[in-house]
Amino acid sequence: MKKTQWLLPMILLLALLLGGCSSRGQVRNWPGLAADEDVLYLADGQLLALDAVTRNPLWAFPEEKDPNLLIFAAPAQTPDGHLIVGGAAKDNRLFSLDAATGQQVWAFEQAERGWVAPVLVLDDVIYAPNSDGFLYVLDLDGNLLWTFEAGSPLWAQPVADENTLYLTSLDHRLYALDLRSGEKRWEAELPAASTHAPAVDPENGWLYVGGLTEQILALDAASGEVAWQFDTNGRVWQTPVLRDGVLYFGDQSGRFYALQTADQSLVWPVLQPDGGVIAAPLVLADQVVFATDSGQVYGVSLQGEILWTQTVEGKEPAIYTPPIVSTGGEIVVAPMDADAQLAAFSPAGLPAWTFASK
Amino acid sequence: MWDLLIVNPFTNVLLFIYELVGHNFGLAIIIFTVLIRLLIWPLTAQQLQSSKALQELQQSKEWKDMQKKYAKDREKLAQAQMELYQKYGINPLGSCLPTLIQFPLIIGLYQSIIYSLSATPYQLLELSSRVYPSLDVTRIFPLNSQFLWMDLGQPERLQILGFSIPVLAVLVALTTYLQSKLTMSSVGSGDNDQTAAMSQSMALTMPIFLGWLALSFASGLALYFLVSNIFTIVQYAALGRADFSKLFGGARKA
Repeated sequence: MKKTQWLLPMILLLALLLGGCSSRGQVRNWPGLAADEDVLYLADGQLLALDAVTRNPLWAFPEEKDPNLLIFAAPAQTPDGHLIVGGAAKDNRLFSLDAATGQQVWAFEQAERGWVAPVLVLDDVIYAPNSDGFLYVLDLDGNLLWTFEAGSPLWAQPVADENTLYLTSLDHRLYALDLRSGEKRWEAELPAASTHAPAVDPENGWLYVGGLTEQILALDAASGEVAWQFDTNGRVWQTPVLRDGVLYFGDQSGRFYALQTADQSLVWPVLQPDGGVIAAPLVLADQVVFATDSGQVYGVSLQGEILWTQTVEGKEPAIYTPPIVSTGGEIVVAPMDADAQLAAFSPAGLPAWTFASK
Repeated sequence: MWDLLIVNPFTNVLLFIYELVGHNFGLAIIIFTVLIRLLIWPLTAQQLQSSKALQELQQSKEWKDMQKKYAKDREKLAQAQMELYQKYGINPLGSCLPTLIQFPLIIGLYQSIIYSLSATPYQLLELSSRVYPSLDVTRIFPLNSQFLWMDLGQPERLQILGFSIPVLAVLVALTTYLQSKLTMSSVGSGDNDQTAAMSQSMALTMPIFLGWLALSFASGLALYFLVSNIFTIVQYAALGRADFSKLFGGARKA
């Protein structure tokens, strides 16, 4: 038998295998989740708008699933009733959609990479961070106002106080920009790449940020100087949630933290039930909800007592998306690799409903 | 199992080289390719021996007589061929092994490149779980995916005068063609017309196929194809098996 007789079937096999592999190489991310009074938005490749009460699908963008147009970032609403979302795969346009119908109003095509983070909308300005390392600042009609170039992809939603925009980049830096002109006020070197926004503390003028190192840093918002640092047991992948002088966050090793910013003491001792914490917790009036990469959801009292636990059903469920509260007051999570795309629990931790698109 | 044995080691070796060469992913892929080619060097040498023995057998009177004798009976012809292979200790698949071995390497490398150049936080999280403790992902990440004019995680195009030119895909196709022509078995007349036709057809099909892969997939993979082709040409030349006369004319008769 000749070598050449084997080659043709072999190259066909390779084409098939690589074709199969390309789906593994496809852009994948955890879903984005947002809600307003009437609608739940789930960005799980396709952006779905669901009736907040009945969970009936209202519209989808794109209308049919498209491997070239994948949306994972939660949409941001503009004052004129539009939603801003961007594609994370081959089609990396930033879209403005009519919130009522999901129809495209405009598309911004200047970015070279995908949109991983949600955009920030402040009044009539859109701050859109892109994986090409640029922050694109647009007006509500999609016209470019100014750009800022960081040294690496921007995966975190910017945050702002009255005059300054704060932006973390994968280049191990945190940038402070003038909110209106984009002029850089300062930049701070972080110990590692940060995939999330800092938490802004207007009371004492600090910013709190974690990253791929095992610590939380507090920086002076005016200068970028490190005020203090707190060592964690694992990497911190989320924006800490600040409430009444306490920072709530989890780490990849699975520890839940409640850290008092005044003296960096812990409200509760080690709490590490099961699974790494990638998602930011949901802080409610009387409890903090943590979700883990093992598909568990925990309601923890503000004193650190585990009030309830639920497990999302599925083969290998994992929760990386921060939980939110729906109009009905339910706690909603968006797991990956689970039986349902959304699972909701009552504040007491009882299963309320699930949603899976057909 | 696939990830444990192929993708994870590949990813870690790539990242290790990346750190070693000063955070240059293109250079890491080139060194990785050369290492892979050196590892399978003995197999390539064996392939050369097998194809040489096969070629000699196909030129022998015994083979040609057999072809004539069973010209109208394909089943008996195949049986007689197998007997001849056995008689002379030739493994007809021996020449295919290095090509076969390349397949998992290509697929594993492609996945490693995609994992290494994580495009989202989820992919970075996945990467961090694959990296061995001896490598510090906080120091390495984010990887610099730029190499010359290429973004190694994206299909390559060079912008010239407003046109997007797939330079790497063209180079891959060209070097694959050169490699096929230089290393093609010297058969091609009489009883082996069919084989020769197929060889000629493969010499055209392979460049198109690999060129298409280079055009469509991450340019890191195309870089692997290009370096691998150049390595093979140099290796054949070093072993005295590259026939440069084939580039400018018909196949030289053995």
